[in-house]
Amino acid sequence: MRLGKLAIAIVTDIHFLIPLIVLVLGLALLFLLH
Amino acid sequence: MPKQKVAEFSSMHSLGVASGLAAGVWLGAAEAPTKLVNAGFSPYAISFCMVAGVFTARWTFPTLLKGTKYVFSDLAENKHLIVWAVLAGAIWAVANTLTVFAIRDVGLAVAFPLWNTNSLVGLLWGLLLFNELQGAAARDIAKVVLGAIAILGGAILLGFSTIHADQSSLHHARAGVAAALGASLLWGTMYVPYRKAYISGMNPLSFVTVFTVGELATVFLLVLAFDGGFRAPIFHSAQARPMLFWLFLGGFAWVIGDIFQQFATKYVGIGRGIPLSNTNQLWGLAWGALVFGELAAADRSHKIFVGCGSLVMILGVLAISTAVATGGERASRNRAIKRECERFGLSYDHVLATNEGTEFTERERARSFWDYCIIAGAVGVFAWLGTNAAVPALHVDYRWLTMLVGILLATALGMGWRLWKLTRFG
Repeated sequence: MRLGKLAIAIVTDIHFLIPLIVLVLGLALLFLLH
Repeated sequence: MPKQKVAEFSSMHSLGVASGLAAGVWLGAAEAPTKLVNAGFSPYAISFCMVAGVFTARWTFPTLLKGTKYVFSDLAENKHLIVWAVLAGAIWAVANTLTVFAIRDVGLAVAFPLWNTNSLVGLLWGLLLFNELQGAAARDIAKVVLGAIAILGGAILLGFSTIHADQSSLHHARAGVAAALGASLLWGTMYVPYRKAYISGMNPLSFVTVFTVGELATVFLLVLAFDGGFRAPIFHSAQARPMLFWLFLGGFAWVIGDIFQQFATKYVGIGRGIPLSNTNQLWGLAWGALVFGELAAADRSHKIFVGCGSLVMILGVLAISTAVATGGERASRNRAIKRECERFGLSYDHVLATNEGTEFTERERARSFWDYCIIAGAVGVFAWLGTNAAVPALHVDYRWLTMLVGILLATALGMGWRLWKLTRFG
């Protein structure tokens, strides 16, 4: 699979988006608590 | 379904269950060496050193199982999964740091049960994202859900047994509860990348390799962000060196436990895998109570908590262990595999074979000269740190220590043999 197509397949994958959103929320919480 | 196929499913199920339990044994032991560390460094620094140990340990024993050629060839074949492995490592690091805040603000008694609900979060993601338990018999669904709840309940009871009178005031209660719930959400979601890798046919050892890089990079950035940047005491203090060996040893036990956890996720999925490896609480308590005498002054009610907690946890394990995925659930899993293969252009037959443990790939199995150099280097780091290690004056029961180390070795050898025999660590 070509790199561009692969990148699109990754960033539009729900299996990627959910963990990424959760990671961003976790980092935001960490900054708030620190 | 043919009898032979049923027997194969059952055998992979029992392999996954045994891997989850072995993960519990090793992850529980990972806490033990850190009890010997009392150098007054920040939690970020302690976490950073332990993860550095995890990273180094990855290049010792696991490199013997699959050489670097195999791992890099597997990663090249599944390039897209590198993103998921880094993501999982980063999630672990942030969750681990949040637990520090949770303990500080609400104490272990409240924080521990909250972040242990990660098994329920994982159960939900498994159901929604990977078709887990879909098509399963109602009896098996009940066994998995009740088993997960029982293991969570057992962990809560064990958590209460380790409480000391050091509860913080409720001043920061809301922040502490938010931190614990955040850790639960992160640790439950961390298994999404794990499962993603395995329904795409990746080898657990390849995944762990990149996972440790993501983990190390994130804890390093957290030290820079929260612990004084490059001026952080951990980078300059002479006090750090004597404690490093114990943290690295904890990291070694953790990485072995995590590899078993990965195999559990691969062969029984996240809904069953997370609760089984959460039995690490039982083993962590065994190390604390038997080797370090932490329950010596415990009163009757604490001992009752330990007994009940252990029993409830064992019942939960029994329930999940007997919930073997049937044909309907396997068909749902195969649909999830097919979806991955279509999305990322993978070979469905190949991925299916790796999930059934039936593909014994001989691909670049031989170790190269470099592998032995890497192993020697990593073992050398442990040996050098060992010569500089300080042994604190702490009561240690050597009889129990020998017994628990014996259980660790027997678990690793027994499970290693089974994994090799059935899957060639595939």
